[in-house]
Amino acid sequence: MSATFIGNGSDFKLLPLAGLNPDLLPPVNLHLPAEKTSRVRLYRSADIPIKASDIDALRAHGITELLVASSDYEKIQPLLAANLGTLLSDESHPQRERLGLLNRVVTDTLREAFSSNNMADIVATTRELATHVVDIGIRSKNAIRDVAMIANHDFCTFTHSANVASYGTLLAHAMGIRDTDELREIAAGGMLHDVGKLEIPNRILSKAGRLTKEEMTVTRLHPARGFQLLRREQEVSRGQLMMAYQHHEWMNGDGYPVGCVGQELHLWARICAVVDVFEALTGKRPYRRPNSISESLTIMERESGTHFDEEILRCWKSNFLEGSRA
Amino acid sequence: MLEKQFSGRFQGMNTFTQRVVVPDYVKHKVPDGTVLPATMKDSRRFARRSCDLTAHLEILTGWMLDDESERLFEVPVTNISRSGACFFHHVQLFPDDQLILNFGKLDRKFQVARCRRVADKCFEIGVHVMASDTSVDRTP
Ligand SMILES: [Fe+2]
Repeated sequence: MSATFIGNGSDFKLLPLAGLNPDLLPPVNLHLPAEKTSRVRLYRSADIPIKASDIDALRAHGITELLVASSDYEKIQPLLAANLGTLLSDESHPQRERLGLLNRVVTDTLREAFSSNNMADIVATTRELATHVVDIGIRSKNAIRDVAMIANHDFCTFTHSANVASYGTLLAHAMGIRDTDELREIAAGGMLHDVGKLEIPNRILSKAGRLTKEEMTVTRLHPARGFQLLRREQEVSRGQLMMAYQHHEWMNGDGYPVGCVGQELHLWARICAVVDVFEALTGKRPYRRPNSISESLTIMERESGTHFDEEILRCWKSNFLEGSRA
Repeated sequence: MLEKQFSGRFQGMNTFTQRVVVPDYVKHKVPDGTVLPATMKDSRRFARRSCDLTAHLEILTGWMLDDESERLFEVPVTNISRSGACFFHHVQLFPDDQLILNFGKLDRKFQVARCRRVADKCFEIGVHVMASDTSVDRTP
């Protein structure tokens, strides 16, 4: 979660309004963040069902998420995942909020799946989630900008992977890839691209300062470790493997682990490289503030053709220009 | 002829092709034959010795290979230790690809630990010895 809220001795989690479907979810207490503090106040107790008019009123006040106790969220989370298709196709909710809900569910589900350490389960989960990423992605206008606005930007692999999956799918679509199966593979590949980090010690991944040379060396093993973990899985395609193995390669050969150049790099890996760096730049890090979208694009432009595939980066940037349509 | 020095499974085979061309600047850059430092997990447990050998390579399981792919090559080996070796090859190999290197009297099964592109169609492959009782998996 991007923020921790406390109150009544409980931790709270944010629930997007687009996920508040009383027909699908059990009744729970709903809370609002108290202004200017990290405490919460009760908005609606579980015995009073929330109505569509309440949701409209919240939106009119600029509120797009409510808080639920973590213990309640644990009950809701599997139902959100199980009913994701229904929730995402409910057009009474704004597209941006539905994309936010998707982002939240993908992050939570990946966190759970990755904690199992069972690679077959992880792969199956990403395939399932990928169908939703593609379904909403290809029918949404300006989705890349919306995702960039709503994406969680905390410093965690699951959030990063969820964002990379959405960005990668939308970029592939913007580049003209229309085959739904291919887009789903790219979406799932985005969720799996950093799976090798499962084997990097947490003290390095979550280190609040810059990494030492030795820690950097260990971190740089993750593409090869990801490849080793995924190559054993029948369901993982060649392109997905290359997303995991080649997403830190540069077009000019300065990347790792192999130092391949240009067309030696799989198209999906080149897509992944662009959205991976964009997500990292716009995300929070313990040692710097997040870059704005335009700052991130400016930084990336300096490495067009050397680090990034020029055409892919141009396509990515065009989605943020005024009046463009993803 | 080179093949005559080789024993066992390689003896009499005349299908080896040495495709890799190692440019001089690569040799200059890496006088001891090593481009990459060994990584933590893959580091050799014993001191490496640079060498100028040619070995016969048979790729057993190659991620990029199919049934039609060539699997027998001659490769220049640049360093060797009791637990691993390093050689140049004209295509990349992938982590956990399995192979046999035959040095004449010595015939060992290895697994790819790392691969680094050092020039066009020239990859430095670091491999570590597999346990001798590991069965040979020939599926691509
Ligand atoms: Fe990565």
